[in-house]
This record gives sequence, C-alpha cells and structure tokens, in this order.
Amino acid sequence: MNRGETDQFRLIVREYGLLVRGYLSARLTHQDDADDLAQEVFLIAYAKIDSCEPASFVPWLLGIARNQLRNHWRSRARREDALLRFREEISEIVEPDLDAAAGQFSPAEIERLLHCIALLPDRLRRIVRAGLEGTRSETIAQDLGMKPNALYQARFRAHAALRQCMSRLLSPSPPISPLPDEC
Amino acid sequence: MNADPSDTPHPDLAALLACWHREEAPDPAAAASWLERLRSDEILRRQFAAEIHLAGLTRTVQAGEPRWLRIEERLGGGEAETSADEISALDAFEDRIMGRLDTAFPAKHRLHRSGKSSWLAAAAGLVIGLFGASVVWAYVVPKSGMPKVLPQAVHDAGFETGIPPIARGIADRTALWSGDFSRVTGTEQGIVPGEGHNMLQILRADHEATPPGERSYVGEVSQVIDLHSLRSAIGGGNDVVEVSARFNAITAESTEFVVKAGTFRGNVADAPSLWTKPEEARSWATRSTAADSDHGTWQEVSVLLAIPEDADFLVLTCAVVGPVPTMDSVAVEYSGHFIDDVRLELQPAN
Repeated sequence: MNRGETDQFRLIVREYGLLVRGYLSARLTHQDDADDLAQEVFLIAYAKIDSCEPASFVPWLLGIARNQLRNHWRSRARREDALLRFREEISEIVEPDLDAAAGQFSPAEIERLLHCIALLPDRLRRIVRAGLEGTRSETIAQDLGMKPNALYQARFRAHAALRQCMSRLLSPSPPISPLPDEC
Repeated sequence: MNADPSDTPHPDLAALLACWHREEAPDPAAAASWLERLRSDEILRRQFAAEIHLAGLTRTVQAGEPRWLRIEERLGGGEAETSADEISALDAFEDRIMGRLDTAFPAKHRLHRSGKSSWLAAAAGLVIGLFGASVVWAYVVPKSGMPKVLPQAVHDAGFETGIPPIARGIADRTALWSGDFSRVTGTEQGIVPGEGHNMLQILRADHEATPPGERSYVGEVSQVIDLHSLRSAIGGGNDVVEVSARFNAITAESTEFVVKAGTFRGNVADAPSLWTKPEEARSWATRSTAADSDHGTWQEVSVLLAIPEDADFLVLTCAVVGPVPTMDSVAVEYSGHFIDDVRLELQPAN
C-alpha cells in the first residue's frame, strides 16, 4: 500500500476499532487481552484487505477476529486449562447470539451507552469497570464489601439500568436524571 | 426459563454469569452441565449472550483508546499533509473500500474521508461536552495540528533542579514531585539522561508512609497541577492535553512503564485520597508499555486526557511496574529504572 492507502486504512482502524474491541471483550474477561488481540486483527486485515469480498466487510473483519480468538484460546488454554477451555466452549456455543448482538453495534448505541454509564450511581459505575486495567471482579467485590455473587447480581442490575436508560433515550421524553443507587 | 426482563436475574442465569466471570474453573460435571444447558435452552443462551455482550461493550467504551504500536509502525508516521498524487491514490483506495462497504452497511457505518471517525468523534464529543455533571472518561481522539507545550505546567519536568522527590506517596500540594523512594542522578550505569543533565531514578516501590507489611511492585512519582493557574493557557472550555514521560531501564525483565493522569474537583490537599478513587475523577487516562531491552534509547509513554471545565486540579503519575514480588519479599527494589522529560501539552483545537 502507498501512503494514501495506509492513511485510509488508519481510518478503518479508527472506524471499526470499537466494534472489534467490543466483540473480543465480550469473550475475554480482561480488556488488555481484547485490545492486544484487536491489534492483531487489524494487522491481518491490513495484510489481506484485497481478499475482502464485496458486501461483507464487517463479517470478514469479525471472521478474522474469530480466528484470532480461537488461536488465542488454543495458545493460552493448551487444552488442559479447564477455565479457559470452559470459556472457549461457551463462546462457541453462544457465537451466533453474540454475532447478532455485534451486528446491532452503531455509533448511536455507543453514544447512548456512554451517556447512561455516566448516569449510573458511583457504586454501579465502579462495578461495570471490572476487567479494566486488570481490575478483577473479586477485587472490586472485596473493596465494596460485597460477596462475588452479589457483585455479579449488581452488575446484572447495572446492565438492566443501562438498557432501560438507553431505551428511554430513544424516545422523545424529558432528560434522563441520574439513576438510583440500588446497591 | 422465564424470558421476562427483570432487575433480578433468573437463578440459573445468575449462576451461569458467576461461573463465567469467576477466575476459577467450575468442576467438570458442572461445566458439562452448563454447556449442555446452553445448547438446549435458547432463552438462557440469548440472555447470557446479551449480558456478556453488554459487559464487553461497557468495558470497551470506558477503556482508553489503545495505542497500537505495531499498527502505527506498520502504517508509518502520523497524519501528515497529503500530496495531490497521494490524494489520487487515496481516492482510488477509498473507492475500492467504499464499493465494498456501500452494499453492506447503512450510511452511518461508512467511512468518512474528512478525518475523524464518526464513531470516535461522536464518543469524544460526548465525553468531552455532554457530561456536565458526571465523570468524563478519557475516550478522546487527538485533534489536528501541532500540540502546544504548556510552559512550566509541570514543575521541574526534567529533574534539572537536582531536588529529589519527597518519598510520601501521591503529592498533596503543587510544584513538587512526590512518590516512592527515588533520587535525581546524572548519567548512571551507562544510561544518559533523555534531556538535560539529570533524570530520576526510581529506587523502590514504597515510600515513608507505606503501611508496614504492604508489598508493592509499582514504583511511582506524582505531581499535582492546579488547573486554575493554567486556564489562561488552555482556555475555559473542554480541552484535551497529552501527558507524556520518557522511560529507560537497564533490564526489561518483567518491567512496564506507566503514565496515568486524572482530573478532579476539590482541594489539592485531597489529591492522595481522591487518586485512589478513579470513579470520582472528572477524567482519567492510563497507558502502559513493556520495557524494551535497548538501553540506548528512551521509550515515551503518553496519555490523552480531557480537561473538563469544572475540574480543579490534575494528578499525573509516572511509574515503573514489576517484577511481581515473591511472598517473602518486602518491597521491590529497582536496579536501574529511570524517568525523564515529563510533559503536558495542549492538543490543538480543530
């Protein structure tokens, strides 16, 4: 590729970076792992851009992500690590459902999600940061004086609040106020 | 299972999510049971997928934009001026890509040659401008043009005064360095300062006020910057700054270099306690990179940070991480790890 093409590919990386990172992050518990793998995905896409079939750019890109994820599982799990093998098998079973969810990814959804995260009470906002900067759920649970299972349930409630908030943002209703602290 | 949405997860879904998030493997019988259940129970599978999808997306949009060094290396330097010939080539390539995308996506997913990604621009605009009363996360994109160094924003940025940081943890006042045990030195162990005559050597991963028995493998120094004193330079709006530092080490083994920065409301004296609560930050950014084995060159680590209009002060830290201490070690001591040339630069407005 010449300079013009690399500039254009840089735009592709920016445009689809969140999509690929979000796709991988749903399947991996640590954001750093997802980001490292996403970089690999774009490096491969860069090398193989000419093999991209018409009308299938995102499926093609996510196909690379899927292959890289499998390689990741296999190199890390080495078939004898029960936890990673369990996660790999679950990922494969729910693959079509996760693909469907990724297909609904849009800039507007991201805007709404960011807005609604900011409206979460501090405690829930902290909970939905699990996995960032190597923060483990168990550590957050300990810091918040919660048992891990209670934290997972709180995260479920946070997700429910986020969905409700995002849904309300879609309708021409009064401004959304901060969400109540349920914890 | 019941498909009705609820604030309380179905017990089976709750158990499965706990199993997924926990950092330990379920016993083989439980694992096999869950796998079989997911294959056969479509509603459970969908709800589980929706949960982990949202968890991943939520994590991703809150994370800082990763710096993909290998991609940067592969694609070459930044976004320089483009010549007429290159624009022509770019047009041709864009036509190729757009031709492929047009039939696959609605218009909102298309690429925009006008520079900034619509998604990231939307996200950046949102986090910088929309959250008047909430946390502003550091999901920002660099603006075009040249950055502007803010003179004297960072006190003793190159450690040229020769005054060592105080070893009291995160600073609680402006115009000084504070952190873990460290010293200012000239050329040391064959490593020449990155700029000027001095650099900072991180000695240990603890400080005078470290509680007895606490073990750390992060050696850091910090500085607090009063944003009110910078308002004339950065304006009153929501600007973006780049915080950077240069690092070097005589060993790359299990070593990372980290720059973190956050803005907060309140009194500078409260910086040490606020720093431990990122959720109270008005904006927050962090970046790390693995140390390389080249002693002859310095590695720069930088973060982009939004400066919300109502933030009172900024905290920046530069840290050396690792190696992880053993169970019977007290605190990590560093054999030759250096920091120099800490900068705060204002990213130009579009």
